[in-house]
Amino acid sequence: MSHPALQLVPDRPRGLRYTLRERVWHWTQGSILLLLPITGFVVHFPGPAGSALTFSRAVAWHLGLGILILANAGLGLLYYAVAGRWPRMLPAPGDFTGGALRLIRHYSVDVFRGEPHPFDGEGGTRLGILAKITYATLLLLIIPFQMATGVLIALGDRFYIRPIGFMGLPILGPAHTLGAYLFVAFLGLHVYLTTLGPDPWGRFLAMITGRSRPGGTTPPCHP
Amino acid sequence: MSSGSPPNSEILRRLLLPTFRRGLALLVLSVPALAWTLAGGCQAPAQKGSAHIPHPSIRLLDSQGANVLESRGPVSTRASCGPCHDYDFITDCLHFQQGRNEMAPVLVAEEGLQAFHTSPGMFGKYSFITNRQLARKGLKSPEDFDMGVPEWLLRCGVCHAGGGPAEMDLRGRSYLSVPSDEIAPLAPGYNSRHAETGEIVRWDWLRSGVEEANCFLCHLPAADFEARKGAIGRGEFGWAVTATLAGWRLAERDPAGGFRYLPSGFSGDGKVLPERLPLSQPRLEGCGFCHGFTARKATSIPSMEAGEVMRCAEKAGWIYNGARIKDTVFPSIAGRGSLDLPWDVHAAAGIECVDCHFSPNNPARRPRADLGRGLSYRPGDEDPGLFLKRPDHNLARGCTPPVTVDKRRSSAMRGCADCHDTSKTHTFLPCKELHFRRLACQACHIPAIRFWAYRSQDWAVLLQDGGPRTSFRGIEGPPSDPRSTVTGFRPAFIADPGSRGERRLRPVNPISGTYWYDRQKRRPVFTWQLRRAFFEGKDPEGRLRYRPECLRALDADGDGQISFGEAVLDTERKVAAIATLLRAHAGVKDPELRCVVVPWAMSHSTVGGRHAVRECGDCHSTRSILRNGLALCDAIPPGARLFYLASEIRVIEARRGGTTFDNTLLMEDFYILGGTRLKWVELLGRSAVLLAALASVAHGVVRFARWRMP
Repeated sequence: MSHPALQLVPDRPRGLRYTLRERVWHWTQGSILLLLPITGFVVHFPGPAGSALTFSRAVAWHLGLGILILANAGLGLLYYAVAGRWPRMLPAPGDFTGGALRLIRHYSVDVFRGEPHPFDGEGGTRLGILAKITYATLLLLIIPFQMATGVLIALGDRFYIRPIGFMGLPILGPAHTLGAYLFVAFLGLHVYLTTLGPDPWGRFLAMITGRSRPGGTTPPCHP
Repeated sequence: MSSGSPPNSEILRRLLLPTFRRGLALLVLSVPALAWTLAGGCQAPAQKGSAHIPHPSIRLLDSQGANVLESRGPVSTRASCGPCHDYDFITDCLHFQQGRNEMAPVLVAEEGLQAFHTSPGMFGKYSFITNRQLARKGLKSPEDFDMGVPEWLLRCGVCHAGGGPAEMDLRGRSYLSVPSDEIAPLAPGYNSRHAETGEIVRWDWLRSGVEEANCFLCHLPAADFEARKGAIGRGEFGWAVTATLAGWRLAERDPAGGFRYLPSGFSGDGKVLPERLPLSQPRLEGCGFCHGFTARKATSIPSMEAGEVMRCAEKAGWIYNGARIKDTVFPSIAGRGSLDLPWDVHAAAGIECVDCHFSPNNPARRPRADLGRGLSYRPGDEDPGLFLKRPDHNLARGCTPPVTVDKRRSSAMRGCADCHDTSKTHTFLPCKELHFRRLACQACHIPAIRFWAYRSQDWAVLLQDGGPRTSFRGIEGPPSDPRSTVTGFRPAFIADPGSRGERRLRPVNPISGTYWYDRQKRRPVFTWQLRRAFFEGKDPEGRLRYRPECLRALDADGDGQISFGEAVLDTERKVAAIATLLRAHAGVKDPELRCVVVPWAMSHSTVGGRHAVRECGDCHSTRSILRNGLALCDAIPPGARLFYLASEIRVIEARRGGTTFDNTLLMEDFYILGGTRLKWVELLGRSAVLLAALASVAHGVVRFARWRMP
């Protein structure tokens, strides 16, 4: 937790699932993260000359979106640091034991029986262990890795250092590509998992309105 | 005005009269000069920067120092030019030595060549184009003797400027000075293999003479190349220099042999005046004799036989010509109407070869910048007199593949960036520095070759004429046929360190060669051995006659001939059959087939920015031009060892109906956005995406099924 004197972000209002800031940040991040693979796909598999999105345009868009995501990620980090909320996104040691097994059992067995999410109603713990691991992998590994490799590729023109082999495109390019594939895989799973629960659209709408549907269960954690 | 002052009219008269007299005198004096000029007295063609001091009158002397008009002997450049220019210094360079002074195994190894090469230069380096190898010193068996120096001169000497191996033996002695009893039986400088009998025969140097450095070949506009070629072809090496002067009406062919001088070409005191022999710096036409087709504005490129003197034009396909392609009358160029651009933009701008390939110690041409110290101009203290006395003839060059001759003394030539300020151009190009660092300028500025070039040279099977199976690219029909249409081709690319040591992509024409290798003797199988294996003699009409075993293996249609299409070793049975013939008739105990790909760098046929590669998608795409897989030989013989230059790197891939050049392994340290895809990355990444999709679908289907269940 951050120092009380630095806690500039007010606590969440009762009944509100996602604050406006969280929703705006999420959808901004989401839109950019959706467009980045699309433009990246065109860079990786350029179409013929005359295509709607040519290679040079795709590169320009990809670069611009990359700068936006950097800025948005920076804002997010600042928020979590100031609000003192970021530790709850990280897995705790205890999460790796019972919590993980409960979640695996839920997604593989209980969800088909209509059982409620094991972490529903656990107060501030909105994120289960799988979600935490996934978010941690995404936010602390894949996205930073993609950002780092992307920045190095973009700046490779100016900061090309021959003796340091890993600075070269032959390493950075495939690494960035692999990261992109893994991110797309995550994105697919992420979208699917939002449909889990009593109401397939409930979580999706919750991220728009900020509140759960009346009568519905509290949207369980999702990776 | 004082009373003593002359009147104005007198002042005017005094002022104007001397001027008038001087003008009149000038006019009178200029009339003959004008008339002489109009009469074409100076035959030197008008050249860029023609304000130069003509070379003084010279005496043409024979090797004994006597005026050739009196002695009637061949012109000796050592005697004629040597007094003012240091002959030995000048001829100690690659243009004359061609590798003769590099015949050391360590130098061969330094260039990454295999040990069977005698030198890294054209004199001693094995080439699969000719499948001939210069005999090395110290041979014990005639079976290891392929080509002696005299035969090298007869076949290859026309493209070499005399001096070096044409004058001195491998031990540095003049051929004329060595007593016959000191000559070893298989000394390569004094022996040749007889074309008909196959015997090793002694060459009579006293009769043929030696060819001294032929200064006139390069320093005389319109030197008589054909007359020189004839003299060399007849084995009259001593007369080769004199023959070069024939076109200037200083000498003519003597039906009795040699040449005779025409006194009308000489002045009264036995000298040759500059207007009769306008010696100058080399002109591009002179370079073209040996290096490829060069012209200022030629609308016709003469038809040529394969193996004619076109060298780089044949191998890389470049044409250095200032004329526009659409104006070309001959040969027939496909789609020339739309090619409103010069064959080479530099030739069109009047750039001469020596503007970039200059003598390194020429104070007028040496680059003055010292960018390492941040100096765009560094004053020099070179003595022009020293340059005139000892001009360095190791001309600046780029050392592009496959050149390996005398690289120790190769000086960096004037590169593109020495003239073109790229910081002020290429504004459209993103990541300029990265592109410049990883791409040679030629990569974009030679987008296509509008001429033909070698594709493959296969010695695996000999054709009826006893020669190799040769194929070309960029032409429909044989190059020697005037009716053939030139279609041109796009280059392939390799990563090459170039003269500045940084690996950059540059356009090349890859040529594949297939040849038999003798593993026991560790050298290629010579052509004369191949002929013994394939042919059992000649028929009454003088044509070579294939051995029956050879016909059984290769003559598919049973017509008693091996056609061009049949002369391909594409099955193990055919390879084994020819290997058996080599063992039985050519003394090759352990034959092996080798297939080598050699890239020929393209440095000319340059286009300007308007016609250069500008679209990102040309390179950054799944069909990147940087991966252009040009066709090579028609088949990779089963079991053949594959080489790229001297290394066992596979750059040739079998495709339906032939083979193609594959530069994947050569470009491992290059990643081209949109063009490079690593298999394992794609496999892993796509598997992850597919797995996520399948897991979601499967999970969703089970959920849906459970939801439908009561």
